[in-house]
Amino acid sequence: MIDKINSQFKKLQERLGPKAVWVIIGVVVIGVIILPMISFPQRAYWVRVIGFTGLYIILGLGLNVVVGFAGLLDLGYVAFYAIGAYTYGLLASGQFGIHISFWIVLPLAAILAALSGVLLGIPVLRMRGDYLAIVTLGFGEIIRILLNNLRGLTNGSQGIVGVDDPVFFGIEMTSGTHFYYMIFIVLPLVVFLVTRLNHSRLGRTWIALREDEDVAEMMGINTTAAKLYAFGTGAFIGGLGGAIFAAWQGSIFPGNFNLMVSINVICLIIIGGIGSIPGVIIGSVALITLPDILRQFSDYRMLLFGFLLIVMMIARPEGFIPSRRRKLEMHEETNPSLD
Amino acid sequence: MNILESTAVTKQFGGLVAVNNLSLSIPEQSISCIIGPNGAGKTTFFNCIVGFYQPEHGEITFNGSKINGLPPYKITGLGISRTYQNIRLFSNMSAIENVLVGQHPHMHTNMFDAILRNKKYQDEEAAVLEEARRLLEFVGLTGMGDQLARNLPYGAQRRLEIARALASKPKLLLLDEPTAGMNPQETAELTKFIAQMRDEFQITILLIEHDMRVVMEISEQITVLDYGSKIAEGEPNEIQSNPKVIEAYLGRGAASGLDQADNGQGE
Amino acid sequence: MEFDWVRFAEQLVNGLTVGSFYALIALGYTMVYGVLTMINFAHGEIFMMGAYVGLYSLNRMVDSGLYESNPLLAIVITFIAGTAGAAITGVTVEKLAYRPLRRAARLAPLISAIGMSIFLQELIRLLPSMGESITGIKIGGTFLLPEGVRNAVVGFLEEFGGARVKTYPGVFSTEGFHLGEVYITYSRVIILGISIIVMIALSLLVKYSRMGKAMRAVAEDKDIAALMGINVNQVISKTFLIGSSLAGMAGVMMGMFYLQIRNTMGFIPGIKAFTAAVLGGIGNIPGAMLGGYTLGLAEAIGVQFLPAVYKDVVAFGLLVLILIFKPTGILSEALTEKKM
Repeated sequence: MIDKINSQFKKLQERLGPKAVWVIIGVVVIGVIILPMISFPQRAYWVRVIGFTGLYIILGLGLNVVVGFAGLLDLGYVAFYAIGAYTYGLLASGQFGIHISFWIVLPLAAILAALSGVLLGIPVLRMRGDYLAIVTLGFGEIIRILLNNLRGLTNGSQGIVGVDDPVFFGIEMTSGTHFYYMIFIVLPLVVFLVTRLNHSRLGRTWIALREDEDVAEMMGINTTAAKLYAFGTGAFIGGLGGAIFAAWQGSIFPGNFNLMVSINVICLIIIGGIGSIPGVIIGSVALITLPDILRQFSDYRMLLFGFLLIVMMIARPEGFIPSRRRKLEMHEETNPSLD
Repeated sequence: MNILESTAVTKQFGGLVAVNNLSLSIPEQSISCIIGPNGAGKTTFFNCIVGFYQPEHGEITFNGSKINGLPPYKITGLGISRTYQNIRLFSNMSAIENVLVGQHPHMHTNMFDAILRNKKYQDEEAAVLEEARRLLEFVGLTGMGDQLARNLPYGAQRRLEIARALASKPKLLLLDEPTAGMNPQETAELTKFIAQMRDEFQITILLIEHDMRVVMEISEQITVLDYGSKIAEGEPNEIQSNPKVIEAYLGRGAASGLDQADNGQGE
Repeated sequence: MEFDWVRFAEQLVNGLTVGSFYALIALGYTMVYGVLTMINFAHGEIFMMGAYVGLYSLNRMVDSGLYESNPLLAIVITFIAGTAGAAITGVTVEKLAYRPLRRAARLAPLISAIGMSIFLQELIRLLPSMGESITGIKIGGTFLLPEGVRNAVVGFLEEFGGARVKTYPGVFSTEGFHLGEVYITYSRVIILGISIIVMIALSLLVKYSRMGKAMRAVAEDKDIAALMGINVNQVISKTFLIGSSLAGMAGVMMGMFYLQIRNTMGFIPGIKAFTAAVLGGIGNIPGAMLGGYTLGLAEAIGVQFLPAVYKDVVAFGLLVLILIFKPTGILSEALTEKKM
């Protein structure tokens, strides 16, 4: 049966030429833009679900730099998301009576997360593979525990409520639609950023690191620096997502930043096709949108989710859209695909 | 002038002395060979040169400055590059990207140049891409550049590894059993290619090789290792006639290999 | 304030108890890692299955009166049941979710394991409602199954799983003895004793038996081992069998000791045990035991100086420190050394 699914999938891919792919992308983009403008039943719900999917695509793209490009298995990505969220939460709420503009805090949160990514990176750089996985997992848990217990700073499990709404040219951003558009403006920027990095000298360095760390170092690559760049970039994007999340929700709690967030993001990357940017998008739709839709139907959503993860790995371990390397020898720059 | 000098280098693994008190000089722009039975410490010595292993004793100098103790990436930056006994390409990158990674030490654009894709970045990318295509052409892989390295045929993978090593503009190129797994015709081609490479790029080549025909044909200097120690050194004809080598290393089976090498040269 | 040595000593004893659980679970991680180089993320759930099967069996013993008439036998049967339940789960999980992925990229088995972990947790939680809907299938207005069967199935599943916290009958008494001023319950001694005996037996097995040798051969190189006539699949199955049995044993003991079990109980001990395995040098059997006890004791000592909520911070902080100074764990195994 699995072979059948696989061959069906291949046939589908063949039938849809490159043109069809662009048509689909165009339709999706237009759909995303006009969706909140039209009125239909449960509009607010859909805007929220798709907005969330967008947010997870952002997170996925960030973690993809670390896991997909550089091959560093980071199970504590949620930490950077949390750092971004709490940066905004603390600097724009009644917690300390500080109210700095969202547009100032947003880059600040991302930079702070990137710095903590680099700081975490320094001690763990020498570790490989699974050691790294468990240490980053531990780091994520430590951040969550600290958020829960540093009551003076974070208000503990009561969280930070009443986080300021961003103001955009005099408009207070309160509704889900506002954040929906914010996310889908930030998202292409992030896609742009990681695509450019992927095909640059740094991107090649990351892939080389993933493929064979020893050889990469003997090809003259400073692997330590390359890993720090990957950690920093991934954390930067995570921080960005976190700040948006805090502003959108208006309140944040340590429970929002548990291990399941990291696991979800890792899974969506791998389901989509590790290292592949379109893969992250498809993976987010598969793992964030679908379970949320299933939520309405039944209690069996997570059971199904677990089951599908297994089936997916067996049927198509390389993910929906495996990453490809751009053609450079023969058709340089003529195919500026998303990949 | 010697480009590489190793003085009394010793590398141990627990109780095993893999390289023992090895002193060796490699003249500039020579083609030199290290031979020896399996486990003689040849690859370990390579790993010491490139900084992957730290020798316990001794000193390795490159162009007159000490290099042992430096991290591998710095040593590569100074101009030493290598290939591997069991091919180690970046298998999920295209062939040309493998070469581009090799050019890394000579590139200067940073992350922000890449994001902005400014003129500096575009110029550099165009230049390295041109150079990479030239290197692929030199090793005879034109037209294969966009294939994933792992999809290339075996011989092509070997040549791609050499192209990648050349991409870092080495002054000294270390080849670890470049003809392993090749048929006689491919081997003969590669042997010629190695000499050609030295002339074209004006580099020094040090290789580990088991095929005596290759060794005798291209080496200007041969070093024989056994149990980590140097047991002989000299020009091919000296090595061939050295009783110590024949006794300690070549043995009966390999002695016939020498005969073959003689025949080969005679043809 | 003077340092409370008695409390400290009691914490140490507690550390040994918790460390026993960590060590037993860590062994499963480390053995699977040694053989397959994969993190069996579902191992915590296998431990949880052991606790559930153990509880079900113990409840039957209590119901049937066997527990009253011969408590020791009842407890032994409970242990066997819990261990077997976990072992069967482990072997099945390997066969269904990991074996097809043996040649896949490194991350694929990890994701499959994460999926399995979620699946098992949810399965236990949903068993009763699944039973109800499946046995409630009607054809033409009548139930497919007779009422008695339906009630039996649903009753069994209610008894076995569900979303609620389940409680073990009190098996261990709080009786104990004084060692100086320190009070130690017999249960702690029993747990420590069983764990150490089992672990020593396992070490001997792996070191000296034919199967142990086969296991090490498979860990070294699966293809070569297969060429040498070793049935690789069987060795891997046995590895899962042993590792899961130990986890099941830990599950039963933890249920008896802490009394309350739930479907999410595997998560934290699972993570901690994995930490312990890494601490000791993953793939290394004595390392996993050492790592388990080190972690248990470190947490116990840590909470002496820090608020108890920082227990996990101590565990992970220790891990980070050790890995910084010794990146391959306390007893690094030879296999992880760089090879060229």
